[in-house]
Amino acid sequence: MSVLHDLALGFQIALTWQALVICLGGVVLGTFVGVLPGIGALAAISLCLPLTYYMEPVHGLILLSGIFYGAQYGSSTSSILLNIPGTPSAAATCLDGNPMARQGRAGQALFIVTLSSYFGGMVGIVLLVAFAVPLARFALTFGAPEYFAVMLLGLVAASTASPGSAVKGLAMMVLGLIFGMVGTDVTSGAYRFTLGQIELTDGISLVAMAMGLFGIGEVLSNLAAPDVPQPPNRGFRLREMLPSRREARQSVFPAIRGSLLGSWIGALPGTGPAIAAFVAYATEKRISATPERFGTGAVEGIAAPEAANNASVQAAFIPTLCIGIPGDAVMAFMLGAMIIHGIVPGPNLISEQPEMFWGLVASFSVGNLILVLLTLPMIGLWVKILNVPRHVLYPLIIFLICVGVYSVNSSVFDVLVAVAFGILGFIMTMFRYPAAPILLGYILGPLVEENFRRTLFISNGDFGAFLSSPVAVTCLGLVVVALLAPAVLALRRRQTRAARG
Amino acid sequence: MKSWKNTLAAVLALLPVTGLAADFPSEPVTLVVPYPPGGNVDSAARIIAPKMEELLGQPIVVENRAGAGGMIAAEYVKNSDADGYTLFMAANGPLLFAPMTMNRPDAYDWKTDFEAIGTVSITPMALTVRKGVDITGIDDLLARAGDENLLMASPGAGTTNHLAAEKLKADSGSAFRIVHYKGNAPALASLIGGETAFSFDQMSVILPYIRDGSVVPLAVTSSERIEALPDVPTLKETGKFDFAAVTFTGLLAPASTPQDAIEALSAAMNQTLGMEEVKSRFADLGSVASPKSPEEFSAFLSEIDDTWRPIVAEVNANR
Repeated sequence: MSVLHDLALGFQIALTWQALVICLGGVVLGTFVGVLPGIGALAAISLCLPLTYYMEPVHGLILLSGIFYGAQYGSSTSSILLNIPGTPSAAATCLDGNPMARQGRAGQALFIVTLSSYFGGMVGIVLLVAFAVPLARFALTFGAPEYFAVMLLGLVAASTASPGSAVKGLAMMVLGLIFGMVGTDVTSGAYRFTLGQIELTDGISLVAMAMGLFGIGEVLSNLAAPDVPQPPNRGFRLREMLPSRREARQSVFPAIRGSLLGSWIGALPGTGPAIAAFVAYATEKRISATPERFGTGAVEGIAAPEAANNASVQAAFIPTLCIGIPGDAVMAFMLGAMIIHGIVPGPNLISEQPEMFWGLVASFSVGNLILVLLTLPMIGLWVKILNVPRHVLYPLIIFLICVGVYSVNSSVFDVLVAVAFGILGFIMTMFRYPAAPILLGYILGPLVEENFRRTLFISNGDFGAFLSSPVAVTCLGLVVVALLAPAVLALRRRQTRAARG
Repeated sequence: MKSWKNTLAAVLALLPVTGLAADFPSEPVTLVVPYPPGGNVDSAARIIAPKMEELLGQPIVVENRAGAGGMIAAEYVKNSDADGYTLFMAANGPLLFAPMTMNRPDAYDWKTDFEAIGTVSITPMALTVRKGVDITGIDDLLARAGDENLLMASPGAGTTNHLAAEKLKADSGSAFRIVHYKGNAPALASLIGGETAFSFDQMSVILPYIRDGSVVPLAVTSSERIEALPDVPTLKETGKFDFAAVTFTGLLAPASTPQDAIEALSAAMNQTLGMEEVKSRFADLGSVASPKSPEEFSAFLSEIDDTWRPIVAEVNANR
């Protein structure tokens, strides 16, 4: 079994003490930012990116991904205790988690959520192991037209499917495309939108932009937000957290269904853990014999979405690592981080750098185990963290962001860019525009353009080349569907409303 | 010959200990890298820094100032005090051609604005064809490439790989077309996947594919044959081409840096590059640790500049 051999290779890397320490650091930091409402995985990942320059690339990626999936574990804590999701992906968990807490069952909710998360994460990892190699082999046959079509699909799907208004998502994606165009054109070497600034000839810095939008922006919006509810002032004993036998039984099948749904959704381009969690929640409610219990503290309503968002986080690595196409903004950032490290994710990654790929995958399973072992005993600590005054925490985060941005390139200009994007992020949050599509447009836009032009170059200007393969035709067809679907849905809604009214 | 050079290097290396140590260096030395952390140039700086630090007895700091094709770092060093404490970790593009390709020809000139210290590493390339194309000789390739629309994969406009292709085209009159990718990995994927047919690639990148038979090597671009591929001729050996195409990393100081500082740095660097551990770390990157005296480095730069400036100018004018 070559898969076993590959996994053994991976564990040799993931179980070295350096990798273990880094993985532990990543998941703890991830849980930390996950617990804190308002500061998401992206802010923490972009904050840590400069740190990874001083590590082996595989260790750097173990750290960054640890933060990502660690945040999924942490985010449910504040959903349950405060009714505020730590990250958007845990929003569905509020619906039944917080009612459970108000009934005095917070401990049980946290316990079930942690175990469901672990189960979901492991399912996602197993699917990643199973599908990575065949998918990469398939993607090796991709040429410019196929890449163009798949990336365009990712871009459009991600923007229209993001939570909230599809039009706002698309608008932000286009803004991201414009930011992505800044710099030197790959093919001709001409400058575009550099405003005469020599610092902009290489484009806007990914780190500065991400830290600004997701770090500074989130801190500013949180400062402007009204007072947050008070967290409880003590932790829980393990005995208080054990669910009853009935609760345990009720959560098994939702967790399994949530894991499968989440893995499938996570592997699709343009989705993310938040969508996975809501779909899983809605599914449980629909198939339940007692849907009226949902929203009042149903165990199924926390087990399914938490399993789903963790499964989707792991499965999201499949397209990113195997084809080089990120599904959501966090994965887009991971892709950017890998490229900075000189690793180009894509069909060649697994065969060329097996230690890298399998080491990372093995570290996921190690990290998930650490998370289960850590989360439950450390609930008390997370509760304390929720009590840290905001006026201490936020200035510290801003300070770290500025140091982090500067350290990448010893550039004051980049710090100013980060501040500018922070203000933009704040304004966008105020008017409820999603920030994630900007990052996606910024990273995928240049790739789409590059492959578009390469297709035409190779075909000598023949536009028929875009429809030269089944993969390309299918994806372009789906792009049209994704663009038209919201409009058609809106039209039908208006018609039904008109018919009623 | 080599042992004589090594002896000289060793003797020179002792000089800072005996006489110059009191003068230079007396404070930390900064190596300014014109790329973000992680790439080949950055790695080269981080390989030599700790060893030179031991030899010179002062901390050596690697500072990344990426941007504008390397011009931000070059101008930063050019405008620093000429005292030997701020050095430019240069490579082909940032040192020689960026002012031309970035359309700021007066920004700096490597001959008048910098003082050569020495080469750090040299990386040769190989010209290879995908196996399925069924070509085994360079003449065959150049004869068929234009007619059959065989595409050449380049890891980016203005890279040494691209310039080598342009020179091959200009010198042979073959009318093949060049497709640009963003970096080595996608260019290589297109070559193996069948979208393109042939390419110039750095040895470290292409060697595994030569070994497993997915590509056929036609020539190497260094002046001498390469140990790993003893049967593959150099471009010069084919008789039709009189150029070598290699990427280098090297260290320079601002112009009019005192001679004793240059000598101390040169001696420490060449001793570092002679260490077995350092050699093997460069070999892992597919490069060769290449000690040179300041004069040899200047001559080496002149040769590269003379060979490639006309090609860069032409590519620049045509874009």
